[in-house]
Amino acid sequence: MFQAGPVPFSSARSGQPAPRPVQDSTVLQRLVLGLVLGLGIGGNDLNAQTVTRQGPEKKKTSRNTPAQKINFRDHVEPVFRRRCIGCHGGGQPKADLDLSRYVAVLAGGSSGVVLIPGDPLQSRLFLLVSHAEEPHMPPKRPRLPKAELELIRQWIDGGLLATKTSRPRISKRPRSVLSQVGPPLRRPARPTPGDQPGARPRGWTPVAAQTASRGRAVVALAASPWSSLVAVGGIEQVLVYDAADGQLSGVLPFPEGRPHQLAFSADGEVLWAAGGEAGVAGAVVGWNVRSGRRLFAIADGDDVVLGAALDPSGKRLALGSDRVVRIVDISSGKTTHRLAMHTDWVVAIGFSPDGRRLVTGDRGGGLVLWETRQWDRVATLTGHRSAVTGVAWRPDGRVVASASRDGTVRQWESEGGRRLRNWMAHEGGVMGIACRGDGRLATVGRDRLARTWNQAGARQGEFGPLGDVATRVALVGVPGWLVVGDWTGDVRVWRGDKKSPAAQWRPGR
Amino acid sequence: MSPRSTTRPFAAFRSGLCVALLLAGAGGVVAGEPAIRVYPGRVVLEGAADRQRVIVQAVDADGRTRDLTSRARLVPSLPDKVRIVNGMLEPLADGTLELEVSVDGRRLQVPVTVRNAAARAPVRFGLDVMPVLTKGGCNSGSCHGASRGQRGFRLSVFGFDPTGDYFRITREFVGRRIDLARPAASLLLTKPSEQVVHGGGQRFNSDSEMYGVLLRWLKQGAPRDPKDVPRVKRLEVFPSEVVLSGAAGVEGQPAAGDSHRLVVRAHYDDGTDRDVTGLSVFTSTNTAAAVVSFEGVVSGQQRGESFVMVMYGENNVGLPVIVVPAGPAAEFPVLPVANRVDELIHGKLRKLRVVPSKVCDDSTFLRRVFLDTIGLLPGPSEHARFVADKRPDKRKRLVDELLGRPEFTDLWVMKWAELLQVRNVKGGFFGWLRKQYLANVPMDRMVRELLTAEGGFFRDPPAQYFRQVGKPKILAENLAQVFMGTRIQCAQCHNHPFDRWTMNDYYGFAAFFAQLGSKRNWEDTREQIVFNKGSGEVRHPIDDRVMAPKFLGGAVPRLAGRDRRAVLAEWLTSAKNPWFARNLANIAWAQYFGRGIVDEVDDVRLSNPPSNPELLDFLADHLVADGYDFRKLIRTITRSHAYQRSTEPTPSNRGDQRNFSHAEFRRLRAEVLHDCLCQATGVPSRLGGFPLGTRAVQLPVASMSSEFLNTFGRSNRETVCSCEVDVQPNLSQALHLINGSTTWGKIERGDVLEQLMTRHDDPGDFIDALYVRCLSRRPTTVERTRLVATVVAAPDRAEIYQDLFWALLNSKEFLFNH
Repeated sequence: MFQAGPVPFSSARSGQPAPRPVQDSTVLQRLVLGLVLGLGIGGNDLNAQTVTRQGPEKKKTSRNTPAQKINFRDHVEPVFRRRCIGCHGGGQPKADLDLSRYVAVLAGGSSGVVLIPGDPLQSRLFLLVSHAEEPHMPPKRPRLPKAELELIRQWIDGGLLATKTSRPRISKRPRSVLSQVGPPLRRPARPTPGDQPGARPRGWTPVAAQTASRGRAVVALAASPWSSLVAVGGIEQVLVYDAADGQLSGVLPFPEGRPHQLAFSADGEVLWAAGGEAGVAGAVVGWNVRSGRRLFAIADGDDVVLGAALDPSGKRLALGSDRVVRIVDISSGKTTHRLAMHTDWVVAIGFSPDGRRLVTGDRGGGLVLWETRQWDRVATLTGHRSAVTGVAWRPDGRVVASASRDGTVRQWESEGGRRLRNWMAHEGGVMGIACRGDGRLATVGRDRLARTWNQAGARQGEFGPLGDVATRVALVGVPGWLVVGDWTGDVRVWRGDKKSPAAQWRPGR
Repeated sequence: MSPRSTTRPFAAFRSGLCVALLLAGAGGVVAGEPAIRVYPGRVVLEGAADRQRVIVQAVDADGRTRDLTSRARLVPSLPDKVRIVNGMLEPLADGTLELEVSVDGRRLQVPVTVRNAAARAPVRFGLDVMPVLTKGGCNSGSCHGASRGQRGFRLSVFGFDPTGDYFRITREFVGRRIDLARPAASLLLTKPSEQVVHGGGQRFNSDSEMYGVLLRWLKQGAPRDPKDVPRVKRLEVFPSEVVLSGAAGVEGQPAAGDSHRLVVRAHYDDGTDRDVTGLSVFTSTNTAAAVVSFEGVVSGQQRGESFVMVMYGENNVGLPVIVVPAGPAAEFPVLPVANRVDELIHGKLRKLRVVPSKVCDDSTFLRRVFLDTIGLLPGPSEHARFVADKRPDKRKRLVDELLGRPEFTDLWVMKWAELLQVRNVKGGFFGWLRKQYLANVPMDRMVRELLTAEGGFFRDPPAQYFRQVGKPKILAENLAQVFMGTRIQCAQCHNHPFDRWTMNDYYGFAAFFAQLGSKRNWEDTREQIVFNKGSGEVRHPIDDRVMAPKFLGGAVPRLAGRDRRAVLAEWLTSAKNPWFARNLANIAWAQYFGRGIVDEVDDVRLSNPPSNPELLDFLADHLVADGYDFRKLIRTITRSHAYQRSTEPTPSNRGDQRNFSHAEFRRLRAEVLHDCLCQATGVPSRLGGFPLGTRAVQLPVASMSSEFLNTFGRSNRETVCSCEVDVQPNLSQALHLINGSTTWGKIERGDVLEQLMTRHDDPGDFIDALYVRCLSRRPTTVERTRLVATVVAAPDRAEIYQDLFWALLNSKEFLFNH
């Protein structure tokens, strides 16, 4: 049942307030659902209009032929006239973008085409007027009324009709990758029938966990994507717990210093730690999760390694060595490439699950997408205004999300690094980010909260506030479980939507 | 000579009190024997972590002070209550006792109280950690205090933002700067103690008090400060007076001068105090005279004065240090005094062992007082009359006469027009100023009227002072600089590093101008109207809180709905205000000496103290007592021998620049020099569109172009800074005088030479007259003989006379006031 004209713009299904800046695009994604469920006729002018105009007999249901053909002449041009052509019209339109004539609108402006038929979320014009991206348009004014935005969206979606009798235009570009989440590219290597899923410690050398009288901020936290294992940085150790009960499953010595980052491989078989001793030396160490055996140990430089990522093949390691990204061949321990592009300390690194892409982020907000054959830069992902604090690949490898101290989460498409969307996730800064198999994201921030988001950036759940800054988040292989570390050193596990954590413990106490 | 502290700037005798008690206790000081003093005079140890260092000082009969601490024996009367470690008192158990200090056979007792000896107070971020960051130099502008920090780690410069610094240390880069599980491994400790590589080198070692404070704080879990943490109320530094022997020894073989340890004590608003010497930053304003070490030991170098600045957290206190030559003091001559000014100046000179120059002759005095008082040269008849006058009080009479002349008004109106930045010919602001001066309106009334001015620019000219309406910060800065003589601009962005001003002071002061509004007068659209809006606030840029109006260095007044400016004006001009009268007195002084008692006159600062505070106090009191009558103050100043001294130095005062032991050579300021040139040549210049004969001093604005005035550094009134007037000689000025049209043109156009030639046929008489005209003196015998010989031998007398005239006008004697 696709029809019914515009759906009220903020029909928040979950009942939770949507995040601020990109509310609309969030809702746009929901729109599809809304339509399917036959939800919502809201009380705005446009709805009233459309309802009266179209009448019940015109109800046709096909995705590409909306019952009421939103077109330039009848619908969009009046909006542009009213809102835009003061600047984007006349003799010298701003940015050479003339919105007063159909042909000129299609031609775009000095920065290129602004409309992609059928894909509002890739159309710059729509992204700017819906305030999904900056500069917001019209400048220094409130956002356009929802009804007008919806008109523009539908017009783009319907193929940029010139008049109601025109034929829709079709873009050669693929539709936004955001809406379709593929299956995870990596699975556990040998799923054992009858056994619990995912790799688990078996017969690790027993080591006592180091303790201290006071907790230290959790900066290294990782969860196995296929089991309930959680790894937390300890004092010259990596402590592995079971998220189900917070029981210590095993201890991996890390005499190199303090772990600053922990990560499981996409299949859950390998765990690695990046860290070292501040101001002295850095290191990255990998272990086999089943045996607890060391797979590799790579030393680096004169300060800690804050970010490292293991290639899905397990043969190469990318690590942030101050401002340089080093690519190390694990079998020989040799540096094969040095990627020098960052202007500040590289703190976040992630390989795509197919191994074809690498994304690296630095403390100054720089974010770079690399291809991994020649190690050429694919794109510089500009947008973050403060330190990048984490990157998370969607397990289907098509989208990567980055988190920053500027408070936003930004999503990027993996082939060319195109911007997809961004939203304000945590006031004061996002501290950590993780992505789940179905594309959902979890973030934690200085606002002491943990939040979960759907693909489109709509908030799904909120946990906390905690007693202090929430520093890291991880998603275990059990759907709906959320692991959060904080500044005081506590680790909490939430299951589902419950208000209070199911488990809470302080590693190394 | 008392230390000045942040909170009560001019309370004079704080630390002296304890000392006086002690002196009584010392008993039986024989003349010639040194007095022994112990600092502090009373010790209260509160809590287990409290420490107090005790210093012992000898004051010799000649005023010299010596540090006897290392020789003194300290014995507590109850050894189970207090112990002494490295000269520091440490509490053991509660109780009251005496500390017996014995040195050189003399004994003194210091009362000691120990309270809560078992309680260990927690380390606080704001009180303890921040001073470490300042002491370590961590937050200095060249290190992490730079606007972008160092290597990603930024601290607020000089610690103006403790909340921000707390965040940056503990939570900005989580997992790096501090490690609460292993505090000693925190970068906050390993970097500055250089256990790991640190770009800034080793700031302190791991045995230091600074390291200990940081470590203890981390062990406590790096807690945020609770709301009720006591704040520093004031800071004091011991001893109250330091007079050191300078470095002795002949050239090439310097021997170190005396040194003296300083102790700094902070008093908190909960009544406790603490020895904060180890966490204070020491700087010397004059390292040629005295240097001060990181630990606070001051050492004498060359004869002179220095001011040791002590900074603890955001508090400052200063201590004057005098360095005298090593060896026995030469006999100081008995000097005649004209009035109290001389007594005060001689008091200072005696301490420095500087003998002042003689009083100058009549001609020199005549020229000096004319230039300083009315900005013109004495005419030949005035010269003749004054030199011939035999009455003993003729100098005094001359000043009285000059103060009544309209040119005196012109000179001071120009000065105030500069300070108030009068920039429009029209509008009547300049006229208003002139009227005030002519009527001898007391300065306090004039300033009150100015600061509360309201209404249209034309009908109420003083309202033009508020041209910069809507910029409360600029209005506040200007007011502080012009009427209080202090510069607060630094505190706009961070606490003033060398003064007491914090950002709170700055924005609290700016709040007085927050409610000023302006609108156009629609009956006469050229006119702006200034009025009190009754609303509007100034906000603090860091946390955006509304700032209540607070007097600079004073209290938060109760406004009770009154115009904020009226409240401010009342405070500023009240007799109790410590700034206003001193500032005015200093400005007047600077006009007559070429430098202020605080110099620059608008840069009163903790680290730029008055060279003679007693003198400044006296002049200020004098001004207040006389109802802010400037003329009376000037009479007092000009009557002093200090003003009438010769420029000829004595052996001991050659190096003195600050203590008025001799007259200074001062280049005439642009306007006065211009007017003198016109006066000497008898040829006025046309300046702008003003009538011929208008003197440069009388110009209401600085906008009309004049190459001469620009070259000689007139103020263009763009800021209120006293530095706008430039009296530094430079090459282009010399070239302008030698080659430029001004001097030569005026000589050629004028008929001075012709007139003199008709009057004086004799070359000798002619030369005498020309000398008096230009230099206000007769030529010396040598000058006269040589010149007469040259003139007699010359074929064209007129030409020689012209050359002579030109030479005199180009002479340094003409260009300088001396």
